[in-house]
Amino acid sequence: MRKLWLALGLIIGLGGAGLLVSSGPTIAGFYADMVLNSKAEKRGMPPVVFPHWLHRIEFKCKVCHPAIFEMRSGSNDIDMSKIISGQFCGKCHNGTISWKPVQCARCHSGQPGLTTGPLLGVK
Amino acid sequence: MRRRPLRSAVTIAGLMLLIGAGLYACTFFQTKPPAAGNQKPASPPPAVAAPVTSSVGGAQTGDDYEDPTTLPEPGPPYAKENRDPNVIMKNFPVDSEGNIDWVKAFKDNIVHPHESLDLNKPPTPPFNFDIEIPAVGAMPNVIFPHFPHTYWLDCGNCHPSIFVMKRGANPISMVKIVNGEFCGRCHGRVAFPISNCTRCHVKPKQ
Repeated sequence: MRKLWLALGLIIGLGGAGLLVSSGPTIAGFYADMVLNSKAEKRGMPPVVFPHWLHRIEFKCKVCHPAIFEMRSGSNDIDMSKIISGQFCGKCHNGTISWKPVQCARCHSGQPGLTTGPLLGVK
Repeated sequence: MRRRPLRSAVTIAGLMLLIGAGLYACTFFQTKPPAAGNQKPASPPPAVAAPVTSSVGGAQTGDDYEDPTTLPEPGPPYAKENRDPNVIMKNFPVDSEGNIDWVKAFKDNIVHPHESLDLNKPPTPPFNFDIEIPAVGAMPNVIFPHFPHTYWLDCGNCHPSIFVMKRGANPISMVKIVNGEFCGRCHGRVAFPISNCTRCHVKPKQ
């Protein structure tokens, strides 16, 4: 009987652990998404996940590169004050061309611990 | 005495089945939102610039507005349907690897990306010039098409910082490409992956 309880406990324990793992954070991302995390997490915000695919539908690469963003991850010194003053993302995300940067989680949507660079693909 | 192990084994098996079913149900509910999103796009997906108006006018879900006094909840990047690539790019052409074929997408008039932030700027005509790059060994040679590249990019994006504009002046190799030089500045990171060999190595050697 004791063995049975032991086995029961083991199963429930394993099941619980499995449940925790399976219900844990899932990373949804798309190829060419860029993680921007050189400052975000140090300043207490989740990393930014920039969806290239979404912007590519509306704009050619040459609209943003290299005039607004240098084409190398980590080489753009972006921060929120620059965005609000109309540099980098703020060139469009200012309420005229696209939405204002007021809903933080819209961009700061990455899981903590992501490194700057492509989310998928070669790092 | 002889039956008990059998009975406990049966109990254990039953419990395992139950837990397995529970786990499956959990994962099922987790993957349900995108599946529900996939059924919706009978109406055309909203334009990228739409979110401002849609969040003001349309039905608001929980994540439309957030409490500015609290920090955002980290989570998957695509909380809303108009940010879900499975919804927006449902009918986009894919290449042999299953990645979105952006060149075919603009050739088929599926995407109409803007040329500039200045909407009055006339489009620059793409530059139709193919370059044959010799490949190592038995690998078919590479045909580099300027046309799709100049559709998306300006000359200044690649020349002269990534590629010197002189025949033979660029010591391209696959190792360098994997390490992010030459083609690898974009391919494998933001443009189609380098695992798709035959999309570049197209011209068999004589």
